[in-house]
Amino acid sequence: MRALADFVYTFSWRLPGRRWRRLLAFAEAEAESALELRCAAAATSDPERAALYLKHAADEARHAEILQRRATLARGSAVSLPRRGHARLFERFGEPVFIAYVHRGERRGRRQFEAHVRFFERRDPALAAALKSILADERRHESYTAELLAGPLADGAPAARRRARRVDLGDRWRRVGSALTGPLFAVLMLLLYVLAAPLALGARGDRAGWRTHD
Amino acid sequence: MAAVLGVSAHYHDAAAALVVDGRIVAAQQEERLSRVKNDPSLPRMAIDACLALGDIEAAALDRVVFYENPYRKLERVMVGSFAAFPRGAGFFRRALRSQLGDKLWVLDQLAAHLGVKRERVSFVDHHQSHAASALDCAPFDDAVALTIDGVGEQESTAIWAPADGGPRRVASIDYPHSLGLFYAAITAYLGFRVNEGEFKVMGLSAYGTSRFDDEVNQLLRVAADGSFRLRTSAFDEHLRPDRAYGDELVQLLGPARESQRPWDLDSGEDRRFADLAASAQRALEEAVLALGRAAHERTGARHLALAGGVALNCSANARLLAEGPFERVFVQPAAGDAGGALGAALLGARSEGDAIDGRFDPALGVAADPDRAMAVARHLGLNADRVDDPEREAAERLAGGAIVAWVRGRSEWGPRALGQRSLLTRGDDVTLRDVLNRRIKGREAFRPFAPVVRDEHASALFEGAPNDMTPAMTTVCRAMDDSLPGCTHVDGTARVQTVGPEGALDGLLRAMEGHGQRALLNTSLNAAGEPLVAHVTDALDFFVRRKPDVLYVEDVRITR
Amino acid sequence: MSRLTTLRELIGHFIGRRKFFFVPLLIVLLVAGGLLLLTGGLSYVAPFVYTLF
Repeated sequence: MRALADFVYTFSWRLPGRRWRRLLAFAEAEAESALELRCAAAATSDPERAALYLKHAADEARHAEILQRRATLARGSAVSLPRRGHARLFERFGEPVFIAYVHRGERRGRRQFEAHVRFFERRDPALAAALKSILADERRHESYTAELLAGPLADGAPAARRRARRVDLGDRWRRVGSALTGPLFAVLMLLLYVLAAPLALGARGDRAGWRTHD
Repeated sequence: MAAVLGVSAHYHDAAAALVVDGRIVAAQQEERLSRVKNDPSLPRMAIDACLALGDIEAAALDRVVFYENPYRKLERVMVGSFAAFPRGAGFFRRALRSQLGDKLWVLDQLAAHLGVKRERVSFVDHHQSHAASALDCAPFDDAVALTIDGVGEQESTAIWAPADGGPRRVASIDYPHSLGLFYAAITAYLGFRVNEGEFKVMGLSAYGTSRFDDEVNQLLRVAADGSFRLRTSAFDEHLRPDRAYGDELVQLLGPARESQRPWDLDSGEDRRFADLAASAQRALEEAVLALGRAAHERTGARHLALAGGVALNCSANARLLAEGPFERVFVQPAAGDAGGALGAALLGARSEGDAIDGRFDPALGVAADPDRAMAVARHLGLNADRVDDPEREAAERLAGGAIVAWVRGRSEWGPRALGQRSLLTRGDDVTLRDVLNRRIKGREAFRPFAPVVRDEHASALFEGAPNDMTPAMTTVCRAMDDSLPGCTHVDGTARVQTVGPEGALDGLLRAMEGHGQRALLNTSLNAAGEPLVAHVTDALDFFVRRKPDVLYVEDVRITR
Repeated sequence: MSRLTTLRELIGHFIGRRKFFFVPLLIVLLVAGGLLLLTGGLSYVAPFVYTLF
């Protein structure tokens, strides 16, 4: 079972040009996670948890830097993080669901990073060491979120876990759906653009100077 | 008597503003809360923050007003991509995807988020929103508004006269003839991010000599009637919105600068880019001056109120006041798209029959909570204590060369830190400036810092200060001497902030005077590429990561 | 339901500005838009999710 999971998690590292892109995508995920956690720190009513989220955010921001640096090394030239929106998980779903979601992500990330470390241990020891340092943090994040769900956020924790699972699956579906419909949409748009072009010939206009309004 | 929420979103700098009974109650930019720089997404957090600040339920809103016409926007996108046939195919696909998948439905999104009837959500015109924000917040009458940006629905520039129902359009110039587009293209050409790096171009221009005027004048030409014309074939915003310039511009100006390379202004290559920035800045200033003269000729107004992204160019604003026909010039501080939210709310209030209360204080955002800062800081393992006289204590530290993070009251409206969320240090010490730039903020060494000074000392230190723009740092003034090298730019000017007796920094500046310092260096509490801090947790996050010497949240002192 | 209001306003806009040729185009576009609304609209990549590929 572990061998199969390892294969799935590490398959794409072998593909040419994939390594730096995947490391950059990891960096992006870390950077977005840091945003979520900073917003959670601002929004939670409990100062102790706010501090926990800020520490977690600092870890994620540091991971993003490490991974971005590693992506740069793997590519051989500088890469920068694209700027995206963010999911606003805390604001949309509230604290218990947010933490259940984070816990899921950290647990999954920890399993995947264990596989990545094993994969790179002999192939690229420096990268393995970097991923290992991230892995240590992920274990900590996994356990503190579990403690929150068992302790201060225990009320309704099972429901929160279920909801987090649904959110997670829903996002996946939308990502898959978006990837599937993207090309379809592109073809449709190209077709429309060509077909409608004669209709829109009158659209040209490049008028300079003042337009006066009465 | 109405409660009106104004919203801008979906292009860049989303924001919300709340006007109740004609008075501006709250205004908040989304990026400060979402922590995504220039966040364009529907400002859900900012909306909720504004309602909380106004202590009002969404159901009690009489009207929700979006700052531009989404249908005309869609029309322009479609017309623009067909006009560029066949090269516009990619743009058509991308733009239509974001329009149809998201932007077109903004009024429904607002109704759904707020839980109000769709009929209560309406829109106004983009440039009229800008104009309303400028005219209604200006501290004078007998004014004309000039709005200059990249593009609204169709126009890039407009002149507005005040009227009862909201600003009346006198004359306008249509996109693609656009000063915002021109400056965005130069920004991208110099390797900076569009809609964000424009400040850097302005800062860089002071390092260059404008030896490319002839080339730049081929791109942007000012007409005798004060209008201007772009050589549109050199601009390619439709096809490449992230760079806005086309191959023809490269043929004219030479190869563009790659964005990742660190700046070295001693190298011939980067000197060329600085010289180009200088020529582009000069051309922009001439065009803005010509627009100002045209606005005066058409209306005869004595005063000018500015808004739109180009109005954030404080060097151009300074020349408008110094060389233009107006006695006074005011810039609505959130002049970019964020400010459209405020204008939309003000227009909505007018249409509900409310008279607008023109008093304007930019401290309109979320409030600082010192108790919470203290509790969270202690959980972070930091020292946090209440102090009797934070001003006196901070002044002592500042005099000794400390870098102080300063959080006071409600956060600022507009791109500048005005003492509510500031990083402060002595202005007379270039070493401190360099520590701030490199270690604390992590940004380019050529970026200037700004001084802050009390009104009564302003004229002794800076030519023409204070004026209507200095309270929100929307202009530059020439320094009288070289006593503030840490916050005077290489060309001898400074983007000075002046503080009246009510200002957030008044007490601290008074305390500094006891140490022989009449001014401080004041910069935004954020690192390069991050939005300005709003909540105290973000201030703590910054303090832990970037390590200024001390953080004051009101009377709570936080140290490591 | 509120989207119907937007649709009405949108068509009204193009007719009002006498840009009739855009109306059939719009109808096709709106079908495509429906597709997008059902499947797309994620502006974020995914916090706490590492790509498998």
